[in-house]
Amino acid sequence: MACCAISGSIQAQYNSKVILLPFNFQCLNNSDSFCVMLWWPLQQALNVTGNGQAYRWDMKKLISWIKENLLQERPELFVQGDSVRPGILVLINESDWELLGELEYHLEENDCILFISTLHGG
Amino acid sequence: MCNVEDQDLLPPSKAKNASRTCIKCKEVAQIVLRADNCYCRSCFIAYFTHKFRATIGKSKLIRSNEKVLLAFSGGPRSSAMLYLVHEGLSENIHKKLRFLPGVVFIDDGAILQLSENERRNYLEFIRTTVSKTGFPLFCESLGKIFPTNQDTNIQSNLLSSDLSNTTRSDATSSSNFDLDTLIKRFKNDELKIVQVFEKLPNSTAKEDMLHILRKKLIQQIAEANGYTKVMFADCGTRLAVKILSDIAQGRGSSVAHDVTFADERNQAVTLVRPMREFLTKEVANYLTLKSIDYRTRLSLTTMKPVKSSIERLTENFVTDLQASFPSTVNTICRTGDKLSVGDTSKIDADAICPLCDSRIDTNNSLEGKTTSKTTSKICQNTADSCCGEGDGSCNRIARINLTAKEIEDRLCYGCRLIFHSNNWEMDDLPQFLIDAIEKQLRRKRLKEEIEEFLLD
Ligand SMILES: [Zn+2]
Ligand SMILES: [Zn+2]
Repeated sequence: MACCAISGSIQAQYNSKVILLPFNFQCLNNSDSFCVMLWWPLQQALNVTGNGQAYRWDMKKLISWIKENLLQERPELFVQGDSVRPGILVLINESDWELLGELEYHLEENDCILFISTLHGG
Repeated sequence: MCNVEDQDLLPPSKAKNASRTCIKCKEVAQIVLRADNCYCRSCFIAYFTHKFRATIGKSKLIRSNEKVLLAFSGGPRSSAMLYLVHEGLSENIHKKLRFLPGVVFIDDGAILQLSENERRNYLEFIRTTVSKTGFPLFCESLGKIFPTNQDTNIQSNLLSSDLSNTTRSDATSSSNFDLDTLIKRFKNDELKIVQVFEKLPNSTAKEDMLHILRKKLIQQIAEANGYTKVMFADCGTRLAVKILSDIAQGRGSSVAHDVTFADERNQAVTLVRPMREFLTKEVANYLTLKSIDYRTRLSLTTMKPVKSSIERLTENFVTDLQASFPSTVNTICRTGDKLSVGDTSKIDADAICPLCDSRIDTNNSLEGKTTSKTTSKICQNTADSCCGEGDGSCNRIARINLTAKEIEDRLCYGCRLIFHSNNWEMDDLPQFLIDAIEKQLRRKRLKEEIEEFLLD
């Protein structure tokens, strides 16, 4: 449940340069409620994975990273193939990722990536 | 053959239009509704608000100053609805909404097995959100549908806690105020319902029962407080799922009611669905653009496999299809719209299922499965003096002893499936159901008694 509080405070976080590490783990384990926000400074991402390769990740890489590192239970509720499962809306800086090349979109510094489940029960 | 239509059904080609433009103002688009249907931020918000008000306005159903109760769960759809209503009332605009809203929240935390802490946080969120609108808030536990022994009379017991009022009078020390007391009271009410849900055979039956009881309780609260309409925030995507899962669960006869803008099955309280023209995706976009705070509602099948219930499986089916064929939801909903509700006033009251209010169109289709249970439901108020009406309207008549067979016979096919297991007791039935069945039986007996005196 904790993650859900994030959605309303997007604005606040835009302004206060808080580095919010990707996901709330608990949220992913207890429920598949993906109203999860990524405040995603790229340096941070690279630190997490612990290697210095590919500076600019694309969405495909990000999703697979999330799958590998954050989803312990039922990854199929989030991912389908290389992409997210239907019913999960992906917003990049409040724009639909369909407008930005979807999987091929390359992350920029300070991008705000939002995965919102539109499914009943999260 | 029919090339033109086929074009429309093909999955959109994922061409990279690097910057697509808004169909209204040609600015850079931010929201994609369908492949070629993109909006910029402000045009989308205008479109969304307009559609909501137009849906309400078009129906001409809600009169000026009518009391309308908003069914609010804190989830995305009802949060958007609450926001839209609040905005529509406060603005000084042409198409201003003109009704008097109240908000009802039904706490089903006991059935979702939330911890006390989670429930307190959730209630706190509900209270703060609603208090920002200034609308009265009714909070009740779903368990209330099974009245505890001390207070059998459900009507008098529906003193829904008006939280927002309490806070106002309590403003100085409102930090922890009554939430603990409230939860304690809720828990007391919930002993029965938790047992009942444990006995239900599967997630499908549980979800079905949860929806039915929640709707019933909201209607009761509305009626007890003088509200004549209740707004539910079901959007098109949900309704499409509902249509298909209704059919899959043998509830075909209620499909028409479950998806129309106004469900008038209950004479006292009409259910309306002002969000029915929206897709879940549109709602999610709106919430984000407007920074509206909401909670992701857990459901009984949250984090469960896709096949855990009919509803869940149907949702998965519709969502997958919608991803490739963006007109899926619309097509299903338009098909549902074509089903006619029929003239509800002409339906014999005995042919209505007392649990879900839908019309009964089958006869004993679950024959052979009826169990022989006799009722243990004995009249609790021993003073069985009746006003003489004979239809139980005075609520003081002695209880008729019902058998399981009599009860099952009265239910529609879909509702029988809920109880389609052997281990339920008469005690497990909500009081409103028993009352309704007794009323039907009493009427039937009365009819039989006077039958021979009637002229053909
Ligand atoms: Zn525009
Ligand atoms: Zn029924």
